[in-house]
Amino acid sequence: MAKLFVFGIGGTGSRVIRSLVMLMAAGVKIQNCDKIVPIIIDPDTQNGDMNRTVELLKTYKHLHDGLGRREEGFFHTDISTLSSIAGDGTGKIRDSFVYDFGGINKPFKDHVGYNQLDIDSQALVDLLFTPENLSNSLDVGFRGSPNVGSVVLNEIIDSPEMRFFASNFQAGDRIFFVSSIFGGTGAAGFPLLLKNFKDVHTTLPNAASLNSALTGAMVVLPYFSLEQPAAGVQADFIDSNAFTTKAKDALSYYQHHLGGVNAVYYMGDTPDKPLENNPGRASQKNDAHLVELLSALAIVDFMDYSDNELSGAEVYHEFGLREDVSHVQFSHLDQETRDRVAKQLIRFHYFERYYTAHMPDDAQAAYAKGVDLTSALRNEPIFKELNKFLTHPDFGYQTWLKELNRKDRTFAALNINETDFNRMVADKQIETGFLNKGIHQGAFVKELNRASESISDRDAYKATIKAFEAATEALVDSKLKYA
Amino acid sequence: MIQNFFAGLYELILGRPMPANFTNDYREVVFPNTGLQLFIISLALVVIYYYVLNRMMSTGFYKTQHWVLFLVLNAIIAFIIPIVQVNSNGIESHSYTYMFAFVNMVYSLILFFLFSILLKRGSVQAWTTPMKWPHKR
Repeated sequence: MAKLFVFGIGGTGSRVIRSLVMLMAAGVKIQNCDKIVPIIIDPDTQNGDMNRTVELLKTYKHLHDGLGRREEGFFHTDISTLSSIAGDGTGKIRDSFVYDFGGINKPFKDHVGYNQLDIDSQALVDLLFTPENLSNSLDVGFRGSPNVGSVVLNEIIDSPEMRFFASNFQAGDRIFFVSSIFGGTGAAGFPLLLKNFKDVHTTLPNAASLNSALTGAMVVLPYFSLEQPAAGVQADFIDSNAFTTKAKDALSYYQHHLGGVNAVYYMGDTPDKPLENNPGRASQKNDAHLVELLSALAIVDFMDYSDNELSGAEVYHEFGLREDVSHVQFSHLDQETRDRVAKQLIRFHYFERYYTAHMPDDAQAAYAKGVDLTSALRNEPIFKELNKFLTHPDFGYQTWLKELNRKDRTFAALNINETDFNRMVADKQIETGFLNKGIHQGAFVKELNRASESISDRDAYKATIKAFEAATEALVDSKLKYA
Repeated sequence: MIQNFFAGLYELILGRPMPANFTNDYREVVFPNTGLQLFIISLALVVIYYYVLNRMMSTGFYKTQHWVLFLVLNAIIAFIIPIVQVNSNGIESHSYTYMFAFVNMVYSLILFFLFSILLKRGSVQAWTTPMKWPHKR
């Protein structure tokens, strides 16, 4: 029962996990593990990016649990909160995907007891931290200041959550960090956690397993910029002009002081139009970005390697597109990446489109009538969860896909506003003619009915998802002929 | 045997065939012919609906309204058969003829429904048409 612990640190960590959940929903296979345990670390408990990722994770978990354990298909990858991995209810920590900072809401100055320090120590603190650093309240995160983050986050190593994590860590489990290098929480959190896990003198339980655990990291380099306040305006903001400088400094630090990672992945992009500058809280809810989706692929890639392949010298990966294009389609991805995700995402997209637009008209179709789908859709809570996952305006699949299309560099592999199934995949359209209508509602129903013939489940949710899996596979293979 | 069966079936409701001088023609020719044709055509239409249109061809005619269309088509044919039989055997038309056609039509509805229930499970696209019962899945 090998597990993968994914530490999503800071806003970028949350956003990459959001994309990872979408990939898992589409059925992208994550090898060499039975369960993924996402742990989001962000002191900003109101953070919009984090909260919608948490909602998405919860919804995903319901949908996965409703289907049960499977080797493939939509929602097949098992996820779990940290507290529920013990399985015996002994976890005395909060049952959540988020690390509990216990509500630190005082300024950094008070957190370190600045006023109680002697004058020499105060001078040293003044040297290391700006007056803004010292006066900013910690409940909004570290606002792009890793120097603050590294002090505050140091305390989490002794927290009950970390001890619980370590005591439930087993040989064979793997760890993956996702963080940005240019922010505050991520840039400080990743090296700090890594050093503590790999420290031979660590006080954490299971030190030997932790020290030798196969570890990967996705380091997200700058890929967006933030609006600057107008001259003369005293605003609370993060200065994105410093992103590159901070990234360079951090990279230099990683180069010389960071050991123990088996595979490091780097990803970045030239920033396009600046985002609204929200240093934290609910307003920090940035649109999903292609870089995050591609970063999530690092986790898939890391898990593709066997233990032996990873055990050698550290390896470094960088992501590149085949062409520098602004509208990225599946054909712009490397063949290996395309093989991993394209078909799954197309199938999931077909499923989502049909499920939301056409399925309500299918009350009389055999696949629906056979499991009394119409009444199940009305009464069973699991279908409400599925609707949430697909269409929730805040964190649903549709919203995610739309957000990916709003930037200068967009994920344009799937035509989001297209209602004709024959034209939904940007790099492969289905030629239609008088006798061949391609993929249309009739063809879909036919495949769904055919698929439901071999499904023995009487449960409407299980039967419907399985029917869609088989139907979309048949349609992609026989009509779209995607390879 | 077949003659007795069909004669019994129709006379059960219609009583003795009229006009009286054609009673034997009805019993020996018209009833068995009509009954056999009713049986064969109803079966054929059910097979076409469930196995040709909704298994081999997957035409999309899986809805209850399509099934009803076939039911009505079968009923129309069932109404015409007795009239054609009566006329082609040189039997004088009588109100009995139309009563007979009507009863044959009612039988066609029952038969089409029975055949549907018996055979629908073999259809991929329409095994729940007109209803899921008696199958569970």
